Amino acid sequence: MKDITELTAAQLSACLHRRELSASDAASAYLGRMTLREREINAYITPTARRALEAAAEADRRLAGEDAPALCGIPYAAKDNLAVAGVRMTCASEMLADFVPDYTAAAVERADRAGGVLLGKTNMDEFAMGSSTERSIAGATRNPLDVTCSAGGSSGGSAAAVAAHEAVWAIGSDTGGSTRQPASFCGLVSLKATYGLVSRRGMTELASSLDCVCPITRTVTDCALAMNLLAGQDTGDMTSFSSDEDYTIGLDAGVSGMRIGVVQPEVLAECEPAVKRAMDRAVRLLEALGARIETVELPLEMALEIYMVVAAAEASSNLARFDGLRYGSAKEGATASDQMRAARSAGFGDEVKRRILTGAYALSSTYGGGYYRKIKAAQATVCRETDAVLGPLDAVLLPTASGAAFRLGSYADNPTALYRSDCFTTIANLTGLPALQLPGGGDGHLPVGISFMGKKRSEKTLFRAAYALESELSAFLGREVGRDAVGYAKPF
Amino acid sequence: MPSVMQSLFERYEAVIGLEVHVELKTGRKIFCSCRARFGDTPNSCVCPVCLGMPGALPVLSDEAVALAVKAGLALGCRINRRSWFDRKNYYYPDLPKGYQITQLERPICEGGAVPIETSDGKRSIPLIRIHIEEDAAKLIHRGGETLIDYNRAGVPLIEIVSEPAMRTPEEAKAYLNALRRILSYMGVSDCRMNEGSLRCDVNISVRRRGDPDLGIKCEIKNVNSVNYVGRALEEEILRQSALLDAGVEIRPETRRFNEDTGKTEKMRDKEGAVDYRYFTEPNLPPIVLTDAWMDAVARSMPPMPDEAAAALVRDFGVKPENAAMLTSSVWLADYFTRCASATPYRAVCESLFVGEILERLDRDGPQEYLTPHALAAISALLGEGKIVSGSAKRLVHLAAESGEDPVRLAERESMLKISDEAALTPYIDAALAASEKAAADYRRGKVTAIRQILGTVMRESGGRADPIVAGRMLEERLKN
Amino acid sequence: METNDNRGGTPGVGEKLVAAAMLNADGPAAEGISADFVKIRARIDRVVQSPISDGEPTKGPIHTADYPVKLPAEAGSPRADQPKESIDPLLRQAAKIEAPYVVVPRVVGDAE
Repeated sequence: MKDITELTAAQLSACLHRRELSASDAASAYLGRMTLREREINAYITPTARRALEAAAEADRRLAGEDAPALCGIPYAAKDNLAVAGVRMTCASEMLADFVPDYTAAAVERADRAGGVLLGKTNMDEFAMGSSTERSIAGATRNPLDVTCSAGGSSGGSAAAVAAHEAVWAIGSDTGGSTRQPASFCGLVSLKATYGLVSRRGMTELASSLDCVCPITRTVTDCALAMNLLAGQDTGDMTSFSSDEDYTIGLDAGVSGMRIGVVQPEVLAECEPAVKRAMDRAVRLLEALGARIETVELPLEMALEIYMVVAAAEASSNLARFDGLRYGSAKEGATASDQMRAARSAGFGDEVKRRILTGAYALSSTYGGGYYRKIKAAQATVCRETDAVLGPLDAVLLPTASGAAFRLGSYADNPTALYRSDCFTTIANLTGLPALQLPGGGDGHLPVGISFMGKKRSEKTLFRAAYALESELSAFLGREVGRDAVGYAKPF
Repeated sequence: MPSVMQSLFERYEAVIGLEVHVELKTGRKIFCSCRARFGDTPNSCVCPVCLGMPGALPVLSDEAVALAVKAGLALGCRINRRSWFDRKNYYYPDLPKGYQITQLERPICEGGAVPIETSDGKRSIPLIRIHIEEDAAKLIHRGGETLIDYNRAGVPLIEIVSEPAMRTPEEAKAYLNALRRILSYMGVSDCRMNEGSLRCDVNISVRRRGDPDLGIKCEIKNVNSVNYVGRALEEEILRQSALLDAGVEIRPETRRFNEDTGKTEKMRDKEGAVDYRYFTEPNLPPIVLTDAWMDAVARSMPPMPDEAAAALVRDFGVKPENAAMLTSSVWLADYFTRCASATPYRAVCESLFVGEILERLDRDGPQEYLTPHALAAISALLGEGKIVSGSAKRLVHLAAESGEDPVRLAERESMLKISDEAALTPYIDAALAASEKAAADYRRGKVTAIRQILGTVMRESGGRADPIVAGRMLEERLKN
Repeated sequence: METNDNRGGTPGVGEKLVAAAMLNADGPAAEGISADFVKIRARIDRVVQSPISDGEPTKGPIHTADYPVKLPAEAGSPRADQPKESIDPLLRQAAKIEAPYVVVPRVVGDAE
């Protein structure tokens, strides 16, 4: 038998339910894998080995009985901005270096209730601000497919953990592409669901109106399984809504008869050739599978601009609570204000400060001049335009990122240039629409991602389209992603 | 009034607006289920939500919305069937999240008015708006340090903003009293200024009489009694008009009232005011009031306190000054009504209730001190002349504390009047024996002398002798 | 209840925002930030001047739906978090605790 860590969630689940393997075996295998890989990858900030073994033992008791949930006993990881009672939550920031919440995020609660085995808290950019997982008190996460490259961000630790087989699947957060872009850099699948489908309770807010808690998985099927777990109303999050869908049903219904839009060709001009190739191939395959393809125009540029203002504005407010009175190391100061200033100056990194001040600027009546209202009006317009485009369609196909993973340190001198890398992903957050990333191909070394974006609550349609492509693409992926790429999701 | 002040008041006129914060009496915080109550151990009623811990999200209390709408309906406001919350961002140690969730753009209530009555007659003070917001933590200053109690963080508040429509301190005081009366009667709030469940910020500017333009306004923060509001306003009107009279420009300032000196003091300039960077609260969907919901709230509205007071006067013959006291809350009005309905001796019942029971309710809160049935029994004893008034008062408390039947208690405590002639005879004999001179005077025709003898009977019987029977017996004995 | 950080005069953009965001934005952070101010202004201007700037700002897609307030009978007892009986462990992160209080240097400017 192969290494347990090679199994997808669906495969491992089958083994566990048939009692061919125990959850404790799986947990031990993953903890062993972590010891082996962590020094190089740095996917985790805080491993939770003891908790994992206890959870696995409990999962084994449940698996021995009837009706254990699908993901019972499956090891998973959670981004370090999701609270887990009794486990340090740093958000990769000095500010929260010693913070131990005594409450648990809804997503983790749901996973644990279903018998999930939490392996640890994963690395990220500080307070989820970034696209490279380099700006972290724990240091950079490396891409398991090429350790000189970034795993993407801000959920880079979650993506790297899954790609390095240090977790079967992982929970991340996506405010402007923060799970989809790392999934694309690591050759994985991630769904940013319709805003509100997954409770945000217990997730450290970055931009409350854009934040989504999202799974990162090896396959489309795994992603559907994870969504079954995560989706649904939570009385602790008033923006969440109910769902009783089973996302695994109808995955294989195919795309025949679907109307799928393809994003305007001009935006592909800025992308690397591998991305263009992947897009062209996906279009050909979809056509061959019976989908009707048409070119559409999405307001991507506008969405990115508005996104940056909204995200910074909300972040400046959400991070105001970190005033040093209850977080961060004690700072001397003659007045409470001095203390706050000292604690915030010492506790936040440069990117966080940049966004706080940018956001404060955008919101200020004196200097923003009421612009924020207009920004929100512009956002409403982007929503209307996008809804109009999607109206007659089942989904739109677009790249996830303009290229494959970049080398670590590429943006050290020009941090704001990295904002541009979110140009295909922010529109889904800004409009609240679902978008599903899957590996679309590779540049001969590293993978590139493509995404389906759909109407509100059209997750099942997106799953269907992605599932249809996934099986067609697997052969190409093997060729286009380097053989030496460790841990790449191979069909079992 | 000294003539200088007199002359200032004649030439200058004040324009006054009040911002009143009222704690809603839901017993819970507005965005979490923590208890909200005055006097709990500091920091014992806190949770991730009201402490603003990372990832904790607010969940709106439907009950707080209902109380805010009740206040709005009672004050004749327009109720916005769709309203939403905004964030007000500022840094202060009492603010756990670094922002306050409030309503800026679309408050729950707009318009409305508070009817007042002053020595100048009746008028109505129009309101601008009522909005819902969360309270901040309480800061306690001690020496060089400040202590933070987060129990108050997240307590539901409404802010009631009046038009700048008041002209005198008397009107401002009448406004506050009227507001308190209505809101506490409706059960919206306790409105206890000493406990901070009603807090008042005063905006005041002064202008020359006849001047159509408003002057520069100052704000006096957190004045915490109705009387202090009056005094702070008198001081501030004097200060501002004296400055204007001397040709000095008023600066917009935030001031405070010093209770020790009776003066207002500058806290800070208002120029370059804080930029609150308001934006719509993303974690709370807009609140929508459906027809069914509005109907349910409207149905639960009691009559206004003035109507209830008029009904007490009309139906139970209650004295008007008592009727106002007895309608300070719906609960109290109901309790009294049940008591008064249980007895034909309504005047007696009213006087015992107001004299003996009200004070206990103030102390212990809204719980029945004495059952209406027991109070009726005591009222009957007093009304039928079986006990004296002092005994009735004592009986109220004895019955309340023991729960025993008042008639039996009155017997056991020997409170019942002695009207039986045989029982009275020994007292009569003794009194006559001790008052030979008075008896002689009476017989000589000084009729009033009998009072002295009767006084002796009463004193010796511990006040229990029935004065009518005893008087008649004395008369008969003295005639013979 | 407002911050006590209004200095007199007309603060510059940087000073104002530093006060607003409570950071000592000195050195590299301040430089990066001042460059961003220029960019963000340009960005906002571009969006605002485009023909799409009309519309009801509050109708933006912040919320998935409105919240119909529940009838008193349905409201019941909510929700998320149960109150804790003590300051610990929720406040254990505070820089200074003197049970049961969190302690900070004397705050001035508020009603005392």
